Formats: sequence, structure tokens, C-alpha cells
Amino acid sequence: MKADVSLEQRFIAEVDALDFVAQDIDAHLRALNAWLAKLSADLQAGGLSCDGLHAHNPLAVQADAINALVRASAHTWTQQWANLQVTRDLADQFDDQALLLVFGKFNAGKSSFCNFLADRFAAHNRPVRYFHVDAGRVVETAEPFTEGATETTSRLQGVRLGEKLVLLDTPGLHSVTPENAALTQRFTDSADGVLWLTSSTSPGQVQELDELGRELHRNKPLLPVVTRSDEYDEDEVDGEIVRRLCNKSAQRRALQEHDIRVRARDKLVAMGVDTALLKPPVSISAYVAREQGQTPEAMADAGFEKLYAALLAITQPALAYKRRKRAEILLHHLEESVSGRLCRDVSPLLAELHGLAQAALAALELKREQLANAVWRAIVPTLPGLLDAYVATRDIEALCGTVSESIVATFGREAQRLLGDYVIAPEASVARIELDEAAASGGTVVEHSAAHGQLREVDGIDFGRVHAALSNAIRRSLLSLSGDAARRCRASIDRLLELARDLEESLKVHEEKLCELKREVRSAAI
Amino acid sequence: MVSSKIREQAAHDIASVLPGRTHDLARLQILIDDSEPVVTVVGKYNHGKSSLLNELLGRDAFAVSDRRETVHLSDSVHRGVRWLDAPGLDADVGTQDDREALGAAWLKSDIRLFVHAAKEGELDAKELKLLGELDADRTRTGRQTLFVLSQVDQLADAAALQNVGDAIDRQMPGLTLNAVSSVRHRKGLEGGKQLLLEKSGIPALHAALQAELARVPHARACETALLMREIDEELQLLRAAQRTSLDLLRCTQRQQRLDFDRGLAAVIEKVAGNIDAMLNALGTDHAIVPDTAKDAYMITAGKLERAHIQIAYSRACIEIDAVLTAHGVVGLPSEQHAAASSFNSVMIAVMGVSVKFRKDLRRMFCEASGRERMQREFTHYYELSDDRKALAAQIADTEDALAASEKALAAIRLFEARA
Repeated sequence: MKADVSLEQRFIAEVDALDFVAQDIDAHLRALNAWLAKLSADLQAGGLSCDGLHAHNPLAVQADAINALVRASAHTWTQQWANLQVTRDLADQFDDQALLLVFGKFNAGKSSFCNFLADRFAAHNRPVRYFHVDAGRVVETAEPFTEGATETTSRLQGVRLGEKLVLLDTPGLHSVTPENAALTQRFTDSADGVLWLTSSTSPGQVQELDELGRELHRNKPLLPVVTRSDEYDEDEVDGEIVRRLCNKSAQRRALQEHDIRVRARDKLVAMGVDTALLKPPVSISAYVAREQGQTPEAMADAGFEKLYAALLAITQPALAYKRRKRAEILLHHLEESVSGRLCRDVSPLLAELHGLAQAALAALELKREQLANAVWRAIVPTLPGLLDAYVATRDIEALCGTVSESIVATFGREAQRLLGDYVIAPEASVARIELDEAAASGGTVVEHSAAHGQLREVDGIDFGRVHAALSNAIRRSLLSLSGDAARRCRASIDRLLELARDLEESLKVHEEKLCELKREVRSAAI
Repeated sequence: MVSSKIREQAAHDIASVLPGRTHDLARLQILIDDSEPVVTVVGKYNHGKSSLLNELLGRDAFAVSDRRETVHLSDSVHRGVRWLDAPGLDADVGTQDDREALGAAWLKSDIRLFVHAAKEGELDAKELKLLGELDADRTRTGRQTLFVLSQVDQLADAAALQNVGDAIDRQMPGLTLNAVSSVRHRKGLEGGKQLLLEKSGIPALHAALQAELARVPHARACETALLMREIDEELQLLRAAQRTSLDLLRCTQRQQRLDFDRGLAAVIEKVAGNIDAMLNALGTDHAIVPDTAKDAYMITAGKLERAHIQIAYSRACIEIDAVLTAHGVVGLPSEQHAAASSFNSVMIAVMGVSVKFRKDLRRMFCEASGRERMQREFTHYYELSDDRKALAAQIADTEDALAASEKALAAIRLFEARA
């Protein structure tokens, strides 16, 4: 390469020579699809069931929410894959071309940037074709992009430079109309690399990179471009204002470039993205280059030689990405819409379920005590009346029967009040209390026989002893009943937690497997 | 200063009752201090905030650079006005700067200058949101925000300025632009160039600002009154709610006690009547005649009498126990009792464990003092039961909360006295 050949010429020549050899990635595609099939089957098989919990139990509500989410996820990712068809068609149209995403806020000067590069290719006698995307189709147009300080880009538009390079100008991020942002997301999968345009007026607002998170996690190289690196120099001469547009000084450019580089790197680290993707920022001014006649000197002064060098540097990694693009697109879908979505949405719900379960388990012991006490408090005050009846009839069966029935009824009512969101069926056999004759008679008691003035021995009843025996029997019955109920509640929770753990484990295993597949896809790349 | 310490304590007293008012209280203290008016500049970094301040002050009080520069809040007092340069919105990876900027913008400032660089075109979502909030605050507290379109020298021409103005007007209809250029102003001053000075918009902004500054004392008085009124009303509402719930709790406490007193008195009267009848039916007192050795296997009059007394006494105890259980004085026994001792600790504590003779029963049940003693001692244990203690604790908590509210109301009166 001759020394006097500009980087611009070199770049244009390089674009002419771009060569795409699609890698054989069918094996990767098969492995990824098999992963999805296995995940779907596992999720189908492993729903959370809530035996022993009523539908309004917070645990059951949460479990249902998780089940519904898992079901809906499967539906959603199928739908999203179908939607991606649009992107895939777009990508196919550019299969033999490099696609660079021009990203930035609505006022970052994306349109001027694209128009200017198009002008440069045209100046070198290369064909330039503008297009925009309408209803998923590419519409060719002769019109360059509209430029302006307000949000003019409301649709996805692009320009083909020569035969092999496409710049894709996305509707502004942070754009005032939310539907624009959605459109952007849909087509970004097609891009091979990202040019992040940031205005010199307020450069490097790194929070913008949050919106690039998807792209960066997709391993696409990122080149920050400081646009509009110019300013008007004004003066008043003879009562008139004289203005001159000039480049910002090399020193100020270096200051901004350095600042952006440092903060973008911090941001990428914070986002968990490989910082090797970040290329050194370059500052340019399309306005000044244009105003000064686009001479080689003007181009160099406005920063374009540096830009071309940077573009040359990112072409190679962009091409590597392109060769495995079909596998990458499926991989992104699986990572983001399937695995990522499941983990993001299901994990917090599972954590909540855990929290609810722990709280419910902790509350159970107290509830058990409250339950036994509440029934005790209702039954014991009825004992004097029941004992009076017993003295009259001496019918121990009837006494025990009445008390048992009363326990079953009261226990049922109180269990409904205290543990109403669990399925509790008190067993009558546990509630059943029995007293033997000896305990019931309480030993021998002697009575006057007033009629004869004689003393005689009769079977009598010692109230205190019967009462004590009855109280003890009731107590035992209540402890068994409430203990059984609490045990069953605990078992229901434990069963649900076990299923939740299985689900969690299954998600984790699938996530790890996908990571492994990702490494394989990327390590096979040249 | 004693008064500021007292005020701080007062603010603390109020904030502990109304944590949501912490910010308002901090603002209130600033208002009452009534130091010089504060003008805060907010906006994205690099939009020319610092250079604007330097022009308005007529001196280089703030650092200017072509990258994010203002990281910490810096301020300068000049001709009776405090100027704050808040760090730019969006400046950092984290949002520490943003929080500090907003904190200053809301808390300290009387007037906000919202700066937006003309070259950036229309407002972005974040700027729109903040402007909306500042406008809502103006409606509530009367604090003004002046929008400033900065660096207009960096637009290509008048048509470009018109475009930007139109775009912003579509976003925030009726917003006054206050287009300025710090660079023009500086060059105009240094070169004595009138046209640049005039086109800088700085003199006009200065005039607008002076007019707003003149209104600050009145605005502060209004804002002070507003915050006092709002806090006072909130405290009054809170106190009323606390009084209502305290009344309800006390009413419940009284009613429960009344029910218990009645239930207990009724059962004591009933069992006393039964025992009195039983004792009157007995003839000669045989029970005190000890059995002799030969009586061991015989039925004696003494044995019979003792059996009768025992039956009547245990019936009485069972009846009383039923009432105690119904009112929660005693719960489910935690340990298995021996079959023989059917009674819980409260019954044992009040009634004793000894065998009762005629005279014992007469003293306990048939004399007013005996019945009163039982009533008194069972009531003592009633008040020690779990439910009653929980209710009493709830009442105590509510009383404490009410006392804190009263204290806060006294504190706000203190503010009023000093305002």
C-alpha cells in the first residue's frame, strides 16, 4: 500500500474486497434446537402442584403464578422466534454484506453521519443506495436521510455503501415515541458491529449503553464516535456578527475521547461485558469537513482518517461474527427470550415462594397452639353442665359422645378460622375421647339414705375426679388433632418446596448447558 | 446557636412521627433560617451551566471544561444571592451525581435555572420528566423554574433556533425559552461589542432573574406557611386517628373486664348458694371427729360427711374453673396433670390445696369477705392472662404513639413561633 493513499481509499478498497464465507454451523443449530426441545419437555413435566393447600393460600397463589409464567414463557418464546423471522429475512438480504448499526440518541447526528459517508463513497464512484424498512420490507429510495436537531428519524433506515457495506440508522433511543424504540430492538439482531454516536455537546452519557446491553452481550464490537465535534466561533466586526464553524481542538477532542473511553469501560465492566469489545473513541465533524470542501486536509482535520482507521479495525471482528450469524441469532434468542427470560422472571417468584414458605412454616407452631387453646377455651366451660347431665343419667357413652362431637365441631370451626387456607379434615377417630368406668365413677362414695335413717354404701360420683379425667382426655385429643393438622400443613409446604427446588435445579442445569453450547459456537469461529 | 439546636430537635420530633415529611422539614429549617436567596442551576452536564453562572455573576467562580466537570455541588455567594452549580443530570455511571443534583435543586433552591443546550435540539425523556416535576413543585410551593436555552451561538442560524424553539414548545407548550449565549456575552464584554452583548440574552435573563429574586421573600413566606399547614394538618389527622383507636382499645378493655367481673361474680354467687344449702342440710358436725383404728374399714358418719363436703367443694371449683377458662385466665395445660389434681395453678393459688372442713367452706363461700377475696384474687390473675397483657401492651403502644404526636404538634407550634 502506497504511503500517499488515504485511509479513506484503503477503507473503500477493503469494503470492495469483503468476502463472506458462511461457516458450516448446522451442527451448532441442531445442538441448540435439541437444548430447547429438552427444556420444553422438562418444563412440561415439572409443574408445581399444591396438595393440601386451598387455592387462596398465598403459597398456592404463588405456585400457580409460577406455573402460569412457565406456560406463558413457552408460548412467548415461540411467538418471539416467529417475530424474529422478520429480522432473519432482513439479515438474509444482507448475507453477503457487512451491517453496522449506527446507534445513538436522536440528537447525536446519526443521519448527517450516514449521509456524509454515503457522499464519500459516491465521491469515489461507488454506488450508494438508500432504503428504509416498511412493514418488514426493504424499500429503496433515492433520498438521503433527513437531518435535523429534532427527532426526524422515526423509521429504520439504511444506506448501502458500495456493494458490501450497509449502515443501519436506527430510530433514536430515548426517543420520545416509544414505538420507535421497539422497532430498533427488532432489527438490531442483523447488525455485525455497533457505532455508538454521541454528541460532543454532551458526550458519553454512558447510561445509553444500557440499551446496547443486548448487542454487547452478543459480542459485537463497539466503536464510540464523538460527533459534531465542532463549534461556531463568533465575533462582532463593524457592528455585524461574523461566524466561522471550526473543529474542536485536538486537545479538547482528546479530553473527551479519553473521558468517554474510561467511563465506557467502567460501564462495560458494570454490565458484565467483555471490555475488549470497546474500541478507542474517535471524534469527527461532518459539518466542518463538508464546509471546508472535503479536501484530504479537511477530512483529516475533521477526524475522518482516524474514523476510517477505526472502521478498518472493527471490520475483521464484524466479519467473524457474520460467519456464525445464524447460530448467533438462535443463540441470542435462546439466551434472552428463553433461558434469560425464565431466569429473570421465574427466579424472583421462586425466591418469593421460598420466603412465603418459610414464613408459613414459622407461623405454624403458633397457629397450632392457638388452635388447641381456642378449642379448649370453648369446650371446658361446657363441662359443668355436661357433668350435671351425667350425674342424672350415669351414661358414660353419652358423655364421651357429646364431648367428642363438640370437639370435632369446634375444632373444625377454629381450624377454618386459623388455618383456613390449608385442607384440614379432622379425623373423628382422633377427636374421639373415651373414659373407662373406673375413671368415670371416681371410686366409692357414700350417701345417706334418708328414708330409713340408715347408712348405706352406693356407687357415687366424685365430680373432681371425673372432671380431671375428662379434661385430660380432651387435652390429649386436642394435642393430637392440632399436631396432626400442623404436620399435614408442614408436609404440604415441604412437598411444594421440593417441587420448586426441582424446577430451580432444572433451570440451572439448562442454563449451564446453554453456556457450554455458546462457548462451542464462539470457539469454532475464526 | 441554641435556637437552631432547638429547631433541629423539633424537626427530629416531627420527622419521627411523619417520616415522609423529612424532606419538607429540612426545607422548613432552611426557610426559617432565611439566609440569602438561592439560585440552583440544573441540567445535563456539558450544557454550559458553569459558564452561564460565571456570566451571570460577572466573574469566573465556577470551573468550565469540555467534558463532565462539575462533580460536587459548588456554590458561591455574590451580591446577596447564593448560586449553586449542581452536577449534571446523567453524568456518571452510577447516579450519585444525579441524586445530589436533585437533592440540591429541591431542597436549597428558591429559584431553579434549568439549562438545556440549543444544539441538542428537543428535550429528552429525562429532561421532560424533571421539568414536569419542577413545574408540579412550582404549583405546590411557588418556587419558580426558569428554563434557559444555552449555547445558542452553536446553532447554524435563526431558522435553526426557530426549529428548536418550536420543537420544545410542542413538548412543553408555553415554556419561555430564555435563549442565551455565555460565549457571546463574554466576548461582548471583553471587546465592548454591543450587538454581541444584546444577542447573548444574558442581560435579559439577568433582568428576569432579578424580578424573580425580588419575589423570593414573599414566596418563602408562602412556602413556609404552606409546609407548616400541611404538616400541622397531617399531625392533627394522625392524632385524631390515634385517639380513636385508643378509645376503641380502652373500650374493649373495659368491656372485657366488665364481662369477666359479672361472669365471675355470678358463678361465685351460684356456688356459694349451693355450698350454703349443703352445709345447712348437714346435722351435727361429724367430720371433725377423727376416725379410730377400728373405723378403717367401716363407714362412719365422719367419712360420709367428709365425702359430702368434698363433692360439693369440687363441683364449686369446676364451675369457677369453667368461667376462668372461658375468659382465657387459664389455657390448655402445657404439661400432663396427674389425674387426681384436676386444677390448674390459678385455682390452686386462690383456693389452696388443703382439705376443706365446714368452717373453711363457711369462711370462703358464706361470708362476704371470703367471696370478695376470691373475686379479687381471680381478677388479679385475669389481668395477668396473655390476652389481657397483649391488650394492655397495645394500649401502651398507642399511648406512646399519641404522646409522640402531641410532642410533634408542640414542636410545629415552636416552628410557627419562630417563623
